[in-house]
Parts: sequence; C-alpha cells; structure tokens
Amino acid sequence: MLASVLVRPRPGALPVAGERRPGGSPTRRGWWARARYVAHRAAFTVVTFAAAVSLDFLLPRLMPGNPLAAELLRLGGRASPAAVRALRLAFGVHTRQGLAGQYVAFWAQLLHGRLGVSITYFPSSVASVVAQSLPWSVCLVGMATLISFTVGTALGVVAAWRRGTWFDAVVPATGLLASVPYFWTALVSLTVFAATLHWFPLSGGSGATTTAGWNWPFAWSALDHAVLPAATIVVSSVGIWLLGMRNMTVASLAEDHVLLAEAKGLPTRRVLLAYAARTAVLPNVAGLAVSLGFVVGGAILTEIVFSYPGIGFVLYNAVANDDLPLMQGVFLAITAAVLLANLLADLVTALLDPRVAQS
Amino acid sequence: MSTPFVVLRRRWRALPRPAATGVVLLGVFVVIAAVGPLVAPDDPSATSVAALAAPSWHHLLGTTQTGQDVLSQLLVGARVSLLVGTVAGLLTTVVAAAVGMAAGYLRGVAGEAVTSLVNLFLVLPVLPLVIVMSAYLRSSGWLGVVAVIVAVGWATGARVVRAQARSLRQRDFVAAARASGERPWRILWTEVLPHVLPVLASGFVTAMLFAVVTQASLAFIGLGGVDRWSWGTMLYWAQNADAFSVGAWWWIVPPGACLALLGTSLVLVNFGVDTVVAPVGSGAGHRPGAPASASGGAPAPGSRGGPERRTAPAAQPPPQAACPPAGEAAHLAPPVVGPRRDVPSLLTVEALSVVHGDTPALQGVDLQVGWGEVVGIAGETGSGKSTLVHAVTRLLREPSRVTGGRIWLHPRPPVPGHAGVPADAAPRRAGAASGPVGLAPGPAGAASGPAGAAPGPADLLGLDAAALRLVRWERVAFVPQAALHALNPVLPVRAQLVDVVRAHRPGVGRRDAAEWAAEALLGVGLERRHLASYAHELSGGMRQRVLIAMALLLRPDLVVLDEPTTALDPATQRAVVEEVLRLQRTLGFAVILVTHDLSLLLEVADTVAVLHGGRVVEHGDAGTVHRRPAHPYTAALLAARLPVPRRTVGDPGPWPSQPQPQPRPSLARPSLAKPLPTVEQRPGPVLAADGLCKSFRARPAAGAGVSGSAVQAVDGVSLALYAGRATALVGASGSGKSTVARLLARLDVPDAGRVVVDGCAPGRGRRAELAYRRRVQLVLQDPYASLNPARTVGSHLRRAVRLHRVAWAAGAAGVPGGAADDDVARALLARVGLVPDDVLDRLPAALSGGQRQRVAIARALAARPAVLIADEPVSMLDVSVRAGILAVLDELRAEHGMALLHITHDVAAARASADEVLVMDAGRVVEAGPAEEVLGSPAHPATRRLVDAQPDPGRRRATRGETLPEGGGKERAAMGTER
Repeated sequence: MLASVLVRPRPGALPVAGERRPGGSPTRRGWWARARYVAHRAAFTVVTFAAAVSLDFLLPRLMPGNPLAAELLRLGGRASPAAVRALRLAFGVHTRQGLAGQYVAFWAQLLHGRLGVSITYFPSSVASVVAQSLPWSVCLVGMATLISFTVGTALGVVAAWRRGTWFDAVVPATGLLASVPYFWTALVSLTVFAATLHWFPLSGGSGATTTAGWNWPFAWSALDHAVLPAATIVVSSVGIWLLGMRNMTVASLAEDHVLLAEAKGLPTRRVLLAYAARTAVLPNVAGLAVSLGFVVGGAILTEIVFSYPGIGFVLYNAVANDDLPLMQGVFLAITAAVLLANLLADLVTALLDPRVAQS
Repeated sequence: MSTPFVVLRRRWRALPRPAATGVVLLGVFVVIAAVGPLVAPDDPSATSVAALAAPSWHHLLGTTQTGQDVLSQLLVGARVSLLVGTVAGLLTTVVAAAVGMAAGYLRGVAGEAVTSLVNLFLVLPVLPLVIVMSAYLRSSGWLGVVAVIVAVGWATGARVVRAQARSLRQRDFVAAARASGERPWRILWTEVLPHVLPVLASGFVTAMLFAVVTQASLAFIGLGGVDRWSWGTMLYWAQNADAFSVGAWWWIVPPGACLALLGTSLVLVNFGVDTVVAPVGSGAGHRPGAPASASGGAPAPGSRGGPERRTAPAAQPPPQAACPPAGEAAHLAPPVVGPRRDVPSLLTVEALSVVHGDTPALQGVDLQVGWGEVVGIAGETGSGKSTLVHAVTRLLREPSRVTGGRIWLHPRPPVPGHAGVPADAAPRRAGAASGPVGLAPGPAGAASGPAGAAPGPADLLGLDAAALRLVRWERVAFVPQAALHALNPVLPVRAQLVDVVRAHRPGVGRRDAAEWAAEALLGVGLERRHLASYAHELSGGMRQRVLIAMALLLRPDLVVLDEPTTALDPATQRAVVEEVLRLQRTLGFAVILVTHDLSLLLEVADTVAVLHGGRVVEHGDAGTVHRRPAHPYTAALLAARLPVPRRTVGDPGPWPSQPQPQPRPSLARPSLAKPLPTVEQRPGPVLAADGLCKSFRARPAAGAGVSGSAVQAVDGVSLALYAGRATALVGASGSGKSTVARLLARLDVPDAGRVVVDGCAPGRGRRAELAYRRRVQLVLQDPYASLNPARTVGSHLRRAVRLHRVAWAAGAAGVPGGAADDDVARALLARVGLVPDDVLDRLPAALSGGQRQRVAIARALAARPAVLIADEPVSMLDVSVRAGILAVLDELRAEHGMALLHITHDVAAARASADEVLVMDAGRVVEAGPAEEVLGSPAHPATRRLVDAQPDPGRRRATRGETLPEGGGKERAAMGTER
C-alpha cells in the first residue's frame, strides 16, 4: 500500500532515546571533563594574551600621525640615544623590517623580557619598573578584591534570605556605590581619614624609615599604608558582588531543588548554604571574570590618589611624562595579571561546578 | 486607538518609582548641561585673588587654588560629561548591537570568530587599555575620548545582545515565521528586533554610565585635555594642588557628587528602562517576583494561616469529612460519590481554601487519604492541583496563602499490624528499600507524632518549624514535578540522599548513611555507582527514580507525587509509575498521585478526585468514576480522552466566503458526517520524501562520552503523503519525528535524500521557496511559543495572507478576488472555529492554549497548502481542548482534501485519526502500514513499547493486581527504559 515507504527494522534497534547509559565511573568522567574544561580555559587565556600583545604592537602603528616625532618633540633634548632607539623599536619607524618582521621581533623581545627602556625612570628598563611595582598592586588589589568578593557574596546571601527587611532595602544603595568613580571615593576618604582625622598615612606604600623585605616594621608599615586604599576598593566594588549574589540567591531559593530540600526537613542553614547559595555562587564566580577588568581599572586610579607605589601609579607617571614604552609594558603586565586571575576563577569554577563540561 | 502620547503617558505611570526618580534627575542634568555655560556666574578659567576661599555668597561653592569659581566650573563641566556620555553611549550601543546580532545569527566559523572577539574584549582590563589608547590620541580632544570609549566598551553590550539573539533564534515563533515563508531580513526586523530593543535600551544606559565614568577617569589623570573643563578635570587640578591636605572639601566634593548623582540617575533609569521599551505583551518588564517569604522559608508561609485566621473552628477532626463541596452551580452538581470508607484515614484535608494573591486557588477542598491507599488527583492547567500539593507539603510561598481549612495528619496506629492497615502493608521491612540492618529506620522513629503530641491527629497547617521538620520526610515525602531541577545540580546523588538520613537520624554516621542511600537506589532499580552521579549525568527516568528513592528513604506513610511523569516520554512514564506502584505494594505507603492524565489515574489509583477551578468536583472509587462519572466535567474529560473519529473525504468544500461565527468549541464533540467509503483510486503523492538523512553535531553533554560524534537524528526516512489522507508519524521522544517535520517544512536542509512535491523536486531561490510554502505548511507543537508575544492575532494572520496573496488573488473559491487581507484573515479564523471579532485584536497572551493553536493552524492555512504537517499539535494542551483541535485538522483534511501528516506519540490518537501510520525509532521508520494493522498488532518492539505505554483503564487489573509478580514491574521498567 505504501510502496515508497522503506521498512527496515534494524536488528537490536536502540530502545528509548535519551536513556543512554554512560560508561565508566561517573566520578572519573567528571574529573576528566573538568580537566578538559580547565585546559580549554587555559588555551583561551593564552590566546587572549597573544591578542593583547598584538594590540600592544599594533596600536602605535595604527595611530594617526607620527607618534615618534611628536614624542621626540615633546621630550626635547631629554631623550638619550638609548631611549630614542627604544622608541623607534616600539613605534616601528625608521626600521627596515616589514610589519611581519617587526611583529616577530616584538615577540622575541617580549619573550626575553625586554620591553624597552623607560623614559620616566631612565635608565631603568620597563621590565624592571614593572617588576618592582607589580607585587604592590597584586597584593593590594588582590587582597581587596578577595575581601570584597567574600564580604559581598556573604552579605548577598543574607540579603536574599532576609528579603523584604531593612537589610534588603539597603542593598540597592551599595549598587549605587558602584556608579561613583573610585578615585572620588578615594579622594574623599583620603580627605576625611588621612588628612583630617590622621588615622592613616597620607600616601606611599610604606614608611620612609623602613626597608623593604621580610621584617616586622616594614610589614606593619605596609599594612598600615594599605588599609585605606584597600578599604576604598572594597567599598566601591562590594556592591557588584552583593547585588549579583543577592539576585542569584533569590532566584535559586525559588528553584525546585531548594523547595525539595525544605520539604526534606533539612535544617534551615543547610538548605540555605548547601542548596540555595551553593548554586547561586557559581555565576558570581564566573562574573568575576567580567567584573575584574573594571575593578582593576578602578583600583589603578585609587593607587594614583594614594600615591601607592603600585603599577597604577607607574601608569599615571608614564602618562604624565608621555612615556609610551612604559605605558605599553604596564598594559601588558596588568592584562597578564587579570588573565591569570580569571584563570584562577575558572579553576575554582571547575572545582565547584560538576556541570562545566556541558557548556 | 491610542496616540503615541497616550501610550507614553501610560508607560510613564507604569514606570517603577526608582526609575522615575532617575529620569527626573537625568533631566535636571540635561538642563544644566544645556544652559550651564549661560548661567555660570563667572568664566570658569578666570583667576582671582580669592584663592581657596570657602563657600560664601560671592562664591557659592568656593574657589580653587588660583581663585577660579568652582560653581562656574561645575556648570560648564556638565556639558562634556553628558556630551561624551550620550555620544559614546549611542555609538557603543550601535556597535554592540551590530556585533551582537552578528555573533548571534552567524553560524559556523564566522559566528565563532565574532563570539571569540567579544569574549576577548570582555576580559581585557578596560581602563588600562583606554589610558594607553588615549595617550596616543591626546591631541584629538573629546572626540578622541569618544572613539576610545567606543573601541573598548562595546563588548559588554555585544555579549548581552548576542545572548538575546541566540535565544530568539531558538524560539518557535521565528521558526514559524520562516515556515510561513517570510524573508530573513523581515524576520529580523519584525520578529527579532522588537525583542532586542529592551536589551539595547538597557545597554545604552549602561554604556552611557561607562562613558561618563571613563571620561571622568581620563580627565582625572590628565588625558583628554586638561584645559577643557569637565568634572574630571576639576578633580585633576584638585588632586594636583593637594586640595585634600589643605581641607578644601568644596573643591573635591561637588564634582564628585555630580558624577555620583549622574551615575546614580543612570542606574535608576536602568531599573525601569525595559518597562518602557518592552514590546507589549512580552512581559519583559515584569519579572516574576521570586516567591519567597520574608524569612526565606524556615516557617513556610503556609503557616501564616494560623489558628486565628481559621474560619472553621473545628477542634476535632471530623470523622468522615468527605462531605462534597457544592459544585459550581447547583444544577451542575450531582451528588459526589464518596471515597472508599473501608480504610482508616491517614490524611484528611478539610475545607481547604487557598488564595493566590487575590484570586482564589482552592475553595473548600476536602480530600481523604487512607493508609496505604493510592489517591489520584486529576485536573487541568489552573485547576489548583499543584496548589493542593504544596499546601499538603507546606511548601506554599507568597503570594499563595491558606485562608481556611485544615489538613489533619493522623498518627500511626500503635501496632504495625493494626487492623486498619491493609494486609499487604505488613511486610514493611521486607522491601528492597529497607535500610541496613541495625539502623532501624522503621516507623518507630516518628510514631509519637509531631512535637511529641498526644496520639491524636495533628493539623499540618498549624505546625511550627520544628514540629514540621519532624513530620517532613518521616511521615510525608514529596516527589516534585521537574526531575531535572529537583535535584541539586552541584551535589552528587549521594550527598542529597545522605542529607536526609543525617537530618532525621542524627545518630547515623556518614558511612552508614551512604550505605543506606545505596540500598535505597538499588531498591528503585538503580546501581550503587549512581551514588557518585550528578543530576546532569542521569537520564530523565533515572532522575525520577533517584527522587523516588529519596522519598522512600525514611519509609514515610505518605508519598506525594506531583506530576511525576511530565517531561518523560510515555515509555519511561509507564516504567516510573509501575515502579512506584510496585514499591507501594511492597512497602504499603499511601500515595497522592497528581496528574493531568485521568486515564492513568483510572488505571492505577484506588480513589480519584477531580479538581476543577479550585474545587473537587468528583471524588470516589476509581472504578465508579470510570463507569459512572458523577459530574459533567468528569464525563467530558473521559469523553475527550477518547480519540476523535475521522471523517472521510467528501467534496472539497468551498473556502468560507464570510466569517461564520461559530460557538467556541466546548467539550462537545463536533457532529460527525456519515462515514463514506475511502476513495481508492488517487493520483500520486502530493509530497514524498526519499531517504532523508539528517545528523546533528552532538552536544558535549550529559556525560555521554560520545561528544564530538554526530547524532544521526534522521536516518533514511522515506514517506509519501496523499491528498485527503491522514498519515500519522508516531515514535518516542528523541526518535527523530520533529526533525522529519522540520525537513519536510524546509526549516532544515537534509544531509541526504530528497523531498518531492507534486512529483517534481522543488527548485531553489525565493520564488521556488514561496511556491513550496504554498504547498506545504507546518503547525508547531507549542502554541505558547510559536506566536510572537508582541504581535496581535490579526497581525500574524494578515501578514501571512499578504505573503501568499497569490494563492488568494484569483478569486479563489469563495473568496472574492479583491478581498482585503483582513477579510481573508477573518474567514481563516472562522474556519478554525474562532470568532474573529473576539480574537483579531488580541495578543497571544490573552488567548488560551487551544485558541492559540487554532490561530497557528489558521496562519498555516493562509498559504492554502495542500499538505499540512502538524508536529504534536495537541501535546502541550489540556485534555479537554485536544479533541477540538484534532477535529479541526480532520475537517480540513476531509473537506479540502489536504494531506495531513500528524506527528504524535499518542498511539490512540494516531490509530483513530490516521489512514496510514509510520513508526519511528532512533531516526528510522521501523514499521509502516495501515494504522489499524500496525498499531492493532505491533510487530516491532518499538511499536509494542509505544502501544503498551498508553494508559488504559481497562488494564487496571493487570497493572494493579497480582498478575505482575514481585519484580515484574522492574523487569518491565528495565525493558522500557534503560537497556
């Protein structure tokens, strides 16, 4: 009757689809998937960094006009022959190489850790300036971000739990804090707590009388100098994590598995932490990647206000002195630091979320 | 008609208060930016001798180190902030929209490349990049700043737009528009863009905020021109002059405060921006407020109906409280058959009333559950069955509230072998799910009842949090609806099972608890290794089994199953239900089984209650309800369950020339024409497919271990459709049915094989595509998704008619040549049984599911197709409206001689309505032939599984009785699902 219909019953036809039985132990497969995920993210990090390097290479070559001539003009006779040569290399003018050759040479220089000579800190090399200032920034911004993330996430859970109370009503205010420029918060806190109340030192990373190294006076002084800038960063950035965590937890509280946990008669604490907050924190960790770039940017400005000897302050000096090689080096260093922090966040995600292999 | 002005005013009123505040604040700043330089008291750059003067009448905001007036600088500086903010915000949004749409719509390598670019820019630290770029563009003023901000800031917006575009691409109404023959650009313009607009608007505000702050930051470090006054520049000079150390707060605070206020106003505006821009009816502006109580959930809000709120002052549980509520109207309410009285009560729901916000959800519901009894609750969408479940489990959340009634939970009888307990409940410990020896999970643990109450019944609604926890899971366990979301996605199964044991048996060690959990899994046909699995690694059926194992861990007296089988395919559904029944027979717990599937209940339940409009309209013994339904609604449900008899091909009737208002089809079946003998001689097939193949790249998902390989969704399918004949394509979910539909509707391109229409292969190009669409049309499964929520019914239909104007132009039978699109649209609506005036101007959201599906059918008819492909047209609809839809399809086939391809998993429907049937399994057609022959005596195991999976009250004895020996259910289940 239906001559055109092919009827080909296949021997051992599959039963109901979607009921595949995966092989191997679930745990091992899970860890394998996580490892693959981390490898994937690491590859992404490398690619992104390569792109940032390329951007760094291309920017001076794409910008209109002759930046080198303008630069030399601005510097007047201050530039030493070495600095001029560094600038030439950086801008790719008056070199006989083609663009591709320059690009290869640029990478070669970079891989040898040679980023040129700084004009501001002449005769120090860019690499050594960056190497000196980076640890300060990493400690300050890293600690501040960690504190901000932890406090914000914890408060976010509380706000979601106490929905509708006064505490929850205060939450949008912290979100508004994020719209205030960091440097202004820093200026105000400097005026109030350092200049007026004299609770904290006005500027710098450590006291003038201490010597950098592993000794108590230095550590104490460094901590003393770091408190106010760190507090500024925390206050300015805590709203991001708080608001995000609150909304995620509120959404999570309405989910079926939380409802079921409640129906199971689990203690309230367990329902909140192991079920509601446990799933809500994952997007917050993932959000770290996107927000970190902004937080670091704000933190740079904070360093400028506090004259903190970190990389942000170096960048400010570079801008003030038209030190383009230093600017490029700083940009690369910050990018590398942010990308590594992101990779760290990815690692944490892989540990916390067994589903990463799916995405 | 409403003018744009009226619309704007209405939307302004609908604006949330924070957003309105933000708009006003932003307006103030715009005014300042516009007139600031004109009203500034001084030249901002003019120096004076009054250096660092504090605010006074002469200088309202004091002066700078060089005696410049701060207020003047502030007023003049507003302009740059807003100018840069607006221009950069706009440009950023445009770039973000373009890139985001490209990333969302491009497929393959191009799409991946754009997406990678977006991700790359997202993680780059923004401000350092901006600073470096600005340093190169130092001389180009504020335009340079704008250029840099746009170059760096587009990624955030692009990501959001991309996500939105991606999700829209998956939406059915986009597929439906393609199937109806729209051009791609027009789909982008009318279907997609309105839904991206709110995202763009919000993205613009965010981009503006970013631009304002970035401009200020750049100015603050001396980039972008220190001689041009802006708030950032003011702070630059203040910082350079060490203003803070001399306490010149008036120099620092005002510019920062202005920046903060501008930023705040933008944040506030963002709260309400989607309310204003959202397409009407899309509901994008109102997120459903997450229903959580103020205290989160420790005392569930159900407890708010405390004793003082009770209307019924009953102090004692009524002995036999199953007094039926009055029906909707006296003449509709015949006496309700009482439930079985031969088992003692376990749970008595008494006059329970619940409101959801202001609307009543349950009104005076009475229900009786006996020890070891299987009570089925049937009801359609909105009948209140889920509310009832949540009330019994005390999981009601705001805005649902108990307004009256009680839920009595009766204590366990003192002796397990109590006379009242059914005999088969006695071997409680012998079941497969018994805990490890020595752990004593038996009933003794909680036999004393909640909070040490005297052995009298306790009102569940009155329990406090502590007492409630003693009842939860010890006595009343719950299997929720959506198994995927009901398991914690980040905890392994083990942890979720152990949690229960350790919360209720604090003495049990972690290791013993895990052992206990393993035994529970074995008891439901899973294996020990599944302890380590996560939810996403399990199939739907396995997840449901885990939930059942979890429910039975502590041997509760009552297990509440809320639609346990929705979202599972019929065979798995069957297996799960049989598993529960087998365990129920062994362990003797009572079951409340809630479902929309009355047939299933009639087959498996002892007592059945039918919920309708928040009331119990029928409550009685399953057999009695089946044979003699007392309430007309039940009778209608039972009738609707029966397949629609088909009509035979008569003369193709004329297309209706004028709207023929028909009463909205009720449960009454349409009158049937006298069957005529089938027309035997007929020409070749209208539509034929030969060896269709389609494979998809496997998603690296579900721990399947086959990632990377292609999944062969359709593997060599051939079929032929003839005019006036109905062909049913049946198969389990995942068998490839829908892919066949998409291939036939030219939504996807087959990898191999060809489709032949009217004996020749369709050509390429726009003209050929439209010609094809005029022969073959598709009706999608989900009427809630296949209509654009932002467009009215009339707009959907008129557009489809205009698109296929040619088909109607020649004065097609019955419709005059010059008939307006509107008239044709009305005729089409009337043809599918809707009253055009009722629905033409309404949005899909205002229609019921059945009405929407009729609209979708009418839209398909606008092309006057010769072939109609209906992909599960009724599976998303309530049982009572299914018959009407199927009748419409059958009429179209019979009266207009259409070829109908009905894709379904419902064997009964296929058997009744189709001439031929094709059975698909794993992408292949495994059996084909006359419907009665194939489905009456299935030859292939896949067919047999499908036929067996249909609930059938007539099989009641077999399913419930002893013909299935112990373990038989399990074997059957294994065969059905997990081999």
